[in-house]
Amino acid sequence: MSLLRASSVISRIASQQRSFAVSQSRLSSHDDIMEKWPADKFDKHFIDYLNRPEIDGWEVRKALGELHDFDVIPDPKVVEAALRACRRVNDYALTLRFLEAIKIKCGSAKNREQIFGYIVQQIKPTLTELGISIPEELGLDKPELFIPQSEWWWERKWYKEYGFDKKPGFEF
Amino acid sequence: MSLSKSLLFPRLKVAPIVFRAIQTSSSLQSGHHIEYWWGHEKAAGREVVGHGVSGEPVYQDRLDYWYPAIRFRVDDETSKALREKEQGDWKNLSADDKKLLYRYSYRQTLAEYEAPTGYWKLVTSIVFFVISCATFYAIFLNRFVYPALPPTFDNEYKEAAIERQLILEKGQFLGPARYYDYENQKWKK
Repeated sequence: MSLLRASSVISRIASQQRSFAVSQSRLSSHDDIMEKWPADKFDKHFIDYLNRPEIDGWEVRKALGELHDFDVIPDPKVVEAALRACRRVNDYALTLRFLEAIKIKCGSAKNREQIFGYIVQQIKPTLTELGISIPEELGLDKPELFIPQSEWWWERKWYKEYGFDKKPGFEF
Repeated sequence: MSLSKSLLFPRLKVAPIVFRAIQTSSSLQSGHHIEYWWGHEKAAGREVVGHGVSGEPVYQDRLDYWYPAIRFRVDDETSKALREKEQGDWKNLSADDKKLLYRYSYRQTLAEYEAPTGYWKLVTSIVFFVISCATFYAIFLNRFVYPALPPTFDNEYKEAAIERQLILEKGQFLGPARYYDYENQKWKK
């Protein structure tokens, strides 16, 4: 009986599901390899998706994840649209995560300071308007915390820090 | 009677009931099915926010799937208060608020993820220790265990053997006589 209720719930949700896809479906006849698209078409695709006013947190992450899959550093316009989309879903941590993703895309340290610096410069008005700070301003560009591997050798003070020093079997 | 996982949408708020209602253990006699998937217990009430790597509520920091499917920490009173503040203008968030929001959603920042961990020192020390043990054992064997080499390994013995061959096998086609110039008493170039 509960299985019937579950399947009815699923069919109700499925009918309401939006059929808007970020990447092209396999059935389209024209060239659907997005790596071959011209830059403005590629940018427009993502900007149009991210500028939708009814966007969901799940869909923002879908779009950003797909953008991350491509071997491309996002254009400042795309970055702006993504930051505004994060603002619409009220998720501040996602903006920081996305800015770090741009840094990953830039690659080497020299590229990061040059290209990431350029992108930050281009989107400075948006950053001040929305109140977003880049990771450097918060001090998150240097490592702050260290997480030890749980199955390897541990120093004595880590047992205390993680609260394991009094558990049975872990006493020194 | 088991339905495939593709029918399950992570946004279903009736998730616990739906997942329990569907039998994920096999009724067939085969060893290929997992008995029970502990992913939801491990997710432990953390908010599902995206697809992540596989669609399942698993948290993992990885460079190719940079946005995980669930938040890192469970929501409690401090984070609920912060989320209320997050709905408003972000200029009102202090730097500490912003950092705390990040720590609630993610385990490690990019800098921490890419930072060297220092485990290479442990690994190389163990490797050197093993190699040195092997070296000590080899020295012990060579000094105390192996019998002496026969005299035929000495250089003087080998030279005397070649001299003997030159004298006995003079005029032969193969061997040291081939390369020795008997008129001038020296080796041929």
